[in-house]
Amino acid sequence: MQSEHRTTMIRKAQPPGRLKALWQRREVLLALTFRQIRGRFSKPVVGLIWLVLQPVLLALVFSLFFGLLVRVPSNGMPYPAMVFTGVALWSLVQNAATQGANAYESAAPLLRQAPLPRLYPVLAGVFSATLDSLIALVIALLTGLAFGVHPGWPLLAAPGIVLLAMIAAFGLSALLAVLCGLWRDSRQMVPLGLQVLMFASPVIYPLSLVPQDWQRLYALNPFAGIINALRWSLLGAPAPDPVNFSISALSALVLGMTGLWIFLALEGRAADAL
Amino acid sequence: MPCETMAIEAHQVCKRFSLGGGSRPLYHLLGGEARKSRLALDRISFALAPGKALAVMGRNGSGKSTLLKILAGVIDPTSGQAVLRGQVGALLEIGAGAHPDLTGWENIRLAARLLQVPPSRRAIYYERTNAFSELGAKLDEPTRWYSAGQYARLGFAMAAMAPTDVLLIDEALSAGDAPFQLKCFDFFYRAKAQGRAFVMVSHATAVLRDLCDDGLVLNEGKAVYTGPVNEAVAHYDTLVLS
Repeated sequence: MQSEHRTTMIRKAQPPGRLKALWQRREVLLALTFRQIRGRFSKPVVGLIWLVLQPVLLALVFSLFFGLLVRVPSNGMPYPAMVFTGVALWSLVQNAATQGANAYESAAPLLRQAPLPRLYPVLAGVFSATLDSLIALVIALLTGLAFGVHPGWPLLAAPGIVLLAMIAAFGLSALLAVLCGLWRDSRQMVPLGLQVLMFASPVIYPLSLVPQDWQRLYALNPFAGIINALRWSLLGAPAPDPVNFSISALSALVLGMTGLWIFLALEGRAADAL
Repeated sequence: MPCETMAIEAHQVCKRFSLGGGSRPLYHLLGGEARKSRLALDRISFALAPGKALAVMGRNGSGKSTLLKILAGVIDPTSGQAVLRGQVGALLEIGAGAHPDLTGWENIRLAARLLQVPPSRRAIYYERTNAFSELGAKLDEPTRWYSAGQYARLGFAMAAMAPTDVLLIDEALSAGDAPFQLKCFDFFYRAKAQGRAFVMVSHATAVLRDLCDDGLVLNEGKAVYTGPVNEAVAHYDTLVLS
């Protein structure tokens, strides 16, 4: 047959071999990402409305409650635009993490059909979450413009900042995937954990609200530096402190690498329940 | 026959599960429960030539499905190894691979990528899968609206029509109606003549005797018989009756 040259070696795999397999089947990853996007929104127009409506409504509620009622300071930025940027980026983290936690279960039919890198469902979740987030970020940018904010050249840094967010979100997602694959009841804690992480990140408040003495420690949360930098990039907020941002950026890379490494080391054991 | 031409070579494949099948509730761990494990497969070895079919028999819980999952790459062996030559496809349960949110057609297009159907052959693959499944306009609906039999037809057609060299099938024929089962038998004979290899798990020994050449009888994770299918069925029958 035409595919004679392909040989599948089945044995207890080691991480380097698994890393190579990730690249070889990239076409499948693309198809899975498309499926993830398509599967959630069976009708494109309705899907787009849902996609836009969710962050808009959330940002609206936060703006009314925290902006107008509680009067959370916004460090010179228009509060709705500030919170929208936070919510838009947070949707990436939240969706990627949630899909990661469910990755083994939701991808089970595919993993049972043909040999496939088990990281693909996780990666597809991160990619589709990023697409959602990008749409919300464009709206955040437009909200800023509507409030008379002009971002200027820092806008060019936005893709790099989003990439950093993707790496951190991937790490979190991969960790949750193996955790929930190994111990299925740990999924119960994911929504609460994400909520705590959201309040520990500058989503509804500006980074400047955190006391100066705590800024270094706070920067260990990768999303702190990422969201703050995004507000500088999209909303013309003051430039981030270089040291604090570097801490967050490094933290994001460490989280991404740790997630990848732990996933590759434990994915086999987590798959035993498939 | 030299070893290089074998479609599958399994060598001393072992699988040990931690109790509860691997996915245990976290409170077991927190409660300090001792880590128990179970040897599901104990040093399984066999070789299968292209164009041949292997019947895997055994009572419930004897390790048949575990063996198939390992060959399909769904779970990893604890030790030992297996080599599969050519493209591998698997049908580990009825309608496996069909995603409920996607339509039949979307599932078929995804399956083409999963099973590495080359782009030049995809149009033929779509057409053949459509024809074999006989689902017609039903393929435009999400598969969650399918009956069990329609689900089985789609799953079987997607796996069978792909140009796989090795196809692993777990009890996949039981849900289809009689005409569809006949169609599947016809497919098996033709595919074997083309040099495709099959591993089949089933309790329908009459069917296995018809379709398969070799037999592997498992009992509590151990291979109690490996050889021609007729003798394997005889061994299995005595095992069930004892």
